[in-house]
Amino acid sequence: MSGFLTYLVRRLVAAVITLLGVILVMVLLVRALPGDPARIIAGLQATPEQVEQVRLSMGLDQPVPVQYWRYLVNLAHGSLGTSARFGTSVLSEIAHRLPYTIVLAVFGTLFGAIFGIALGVLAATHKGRWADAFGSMLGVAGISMPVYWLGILLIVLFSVKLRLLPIGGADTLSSLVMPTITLGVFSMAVVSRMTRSTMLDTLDQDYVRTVRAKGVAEWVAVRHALRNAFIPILTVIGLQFGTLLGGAVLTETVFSWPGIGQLLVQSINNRDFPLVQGIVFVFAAMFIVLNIITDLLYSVVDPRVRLYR
Amino acid sequence: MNIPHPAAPRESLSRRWRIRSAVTLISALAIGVTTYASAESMPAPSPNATLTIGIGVDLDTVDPAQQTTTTVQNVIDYGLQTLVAFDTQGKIEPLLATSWATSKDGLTLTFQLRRGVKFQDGTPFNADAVVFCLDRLISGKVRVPIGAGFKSMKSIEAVNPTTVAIHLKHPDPNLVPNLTTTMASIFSPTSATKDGNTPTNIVHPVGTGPYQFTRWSKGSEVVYTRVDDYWGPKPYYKTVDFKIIPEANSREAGLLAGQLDVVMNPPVTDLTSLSSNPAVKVLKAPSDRAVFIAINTAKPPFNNEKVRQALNYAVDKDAIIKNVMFDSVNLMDSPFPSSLSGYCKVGAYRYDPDKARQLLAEAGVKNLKITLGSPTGRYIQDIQFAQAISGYLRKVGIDADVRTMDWPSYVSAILNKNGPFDLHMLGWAPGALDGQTQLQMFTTDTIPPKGLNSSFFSDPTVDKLASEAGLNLDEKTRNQQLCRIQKEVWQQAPWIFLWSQTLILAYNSKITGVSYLPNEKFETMGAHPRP
Repeated sequence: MSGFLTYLVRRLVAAVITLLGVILVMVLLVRALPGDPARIIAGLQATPEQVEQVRLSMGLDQPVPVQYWRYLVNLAHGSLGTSARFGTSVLSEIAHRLPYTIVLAVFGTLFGAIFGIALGVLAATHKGRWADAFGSMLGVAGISMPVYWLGILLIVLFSVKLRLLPIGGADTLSSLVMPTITLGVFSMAVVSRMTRSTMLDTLDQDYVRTVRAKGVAEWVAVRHALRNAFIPILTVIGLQFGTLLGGAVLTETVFSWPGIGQLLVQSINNRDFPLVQGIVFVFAAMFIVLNIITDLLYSVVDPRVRLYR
Repeated sequence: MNIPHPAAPRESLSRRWRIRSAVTLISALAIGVTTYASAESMPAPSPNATLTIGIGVDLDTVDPAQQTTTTVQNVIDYGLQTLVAFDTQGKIEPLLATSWATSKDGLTLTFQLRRGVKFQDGTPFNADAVVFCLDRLISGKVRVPIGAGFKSMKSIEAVNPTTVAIHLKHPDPNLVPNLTTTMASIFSPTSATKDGNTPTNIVHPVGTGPYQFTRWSKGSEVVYTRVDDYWGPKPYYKTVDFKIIPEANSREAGLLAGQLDVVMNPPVTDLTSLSSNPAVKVLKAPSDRAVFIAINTAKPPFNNEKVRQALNYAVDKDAIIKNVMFDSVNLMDSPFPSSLSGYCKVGAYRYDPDKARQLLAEAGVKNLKITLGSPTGRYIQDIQFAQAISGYLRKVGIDADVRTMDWPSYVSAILNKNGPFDLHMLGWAPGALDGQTQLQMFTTDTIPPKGLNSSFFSDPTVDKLASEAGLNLDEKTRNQQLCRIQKEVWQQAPWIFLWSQTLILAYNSKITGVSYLPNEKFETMGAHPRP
């Protein structure tokens, strides 16, 4: 087996072990939430018999190890269970909502990466000048601006005043513009600050000085430096993408975006345990896969990075 | 021998038409915010116009028996109808039934059904359909979270295709009001095994209403389309699109941007500016939802009536209504909101901090430290007015620490006698507008875990009167009994009585005919562009 395949198998085995741990924590944590889930699902006016019936049907009468084992068995059969509230398969609920969240996260990350790197490079190459100050100001604003406030401001400007964009929903491509900006601004700020600092480090390196000494245009030197500064930036972008997948609840709420964040909040409030567990499981799985992909990308970006021997 | 129901049956008009006409008058007189076109100016049904309504709650089900939320009921009601329905005055009117009668022993209710009505799938509406749907409420096979109002039903019988008899375990004056609720909607039994439906879970309801359920995109929208061969007068709009927009500010922006025609519950803080905007009409509809601070009467010193009365005198409700609630609610003057059957005005605990201090001193209470539970975002301005109440209590020497939790945890906490709160906020709306449901908050047999009497209030006089009223089929004497209970409860003060909430609608001023029902629902069947 080649070194790469060995590495991949090793990472996948570690991923499965991590997921088993995630499921265990999930089963334990969800049960630790206050409030009797059977009563909440059955309804406040339900008789004690009806509540017991719900408890039995959800398997909540079983000890935690049994519940854990059942979950794993169902998972092995490709099932994440049935939503206690909707009465439909958890997988179908997630499959309906997840694409919206992924689209938003991809656009948000792209926005953050493109504008973040551009701003960071501009700031680094104009250190101490107005462009640097401008970049820093945008960075601070992007990190500290509440998502909710920015979202409402954009709606007031683009929908109410200019009447250019829909206030929310996911009907057309134009529906993506404001949520993408809202979600991407934070990433942009983080990426630009990381790009600035790593670029400042690399621009001081000997090889960049050598490149400059050859008398090439400045952008060629910057390109050389950026290539080498890219690994920490890539890490940040990868982490940001993961965060955006799971942390878009506020953006989804302000823009009525039918993503999985809203579904998660709704299912926690409904104490719809099978759905909560399913969503958390899918989030965890995506995060792990993303990490593996990011690690693999290191060696693509910088051949000196060898992940395997 | 049968006793005819006092509500005179009427055959010709649909409920929604009469409601709209009545609301036109009432709203114009009472609210003064908006005026409505008369029924005569209703234009012909449009071939393609869409009415877009922004709602704040995503649906969790479209099964009429399984839903738990007034907004969800409101949406489902566009396609489904019930045997009987309320008008704006809370009076029960015929809908799919044309008349009904109660047997002399009070144990059988017989309904005559409207003839010639078809479900939206073309199958006939008849007694078998009524039996099928009402039986779901008592069979135990379907989850009915708010089904307590149907417990008196023993069996349902199709006497002939247009006659249904409901046999009862005991006389129940509140069953007919409960049959107005969305839970008791009649849908096509044939549809119960099609389009993803099962007899125990309906995902595509097929009813007899003027609109047909077309599509539900979870988290996005619910779409209804007009039924062209509807049995009653047809509404103007071809399509009604309910957009799910959880954030109130976004709903308001949608209205101002012209992307939504009607929005439910815009931000209460913006009511003044919305009301003065000529492009917008604001409708504040009185509702049956009482909002109150329940006092845990099982915990000393709150087992002392004087302490509970002191709490009522200590809070300046008028000031809170004006400054925190932006005049969006109506002060309670009885334990019943005024829209409930049997309501009688009892009085007021006017703001009197001196009297509050005096009552506390008489009860021997000083340096009291308590916790006040409040949900966040459940009721209009909830956490904000909880903090205002805490401020008033501090002025009479009670240190009230306001605490909040997510809703399921909160409900769990307030149903526990030894839970973390001494006082907690709650809203309660009997959808059937019956005073008897309101009594569930005050009787011993509904103390948790059996019911929702979350103040753990128990009083033999109230219990006796409540059980007598619950079996009394004579409206006049029942109302007298209910009035005595209201006076008794008001005096003993298991709650800090606050206000009844309003349903606030804001809509494009180019539209007319938007109205409401007294049980916290809006109504757009008569809506159309202003001529």
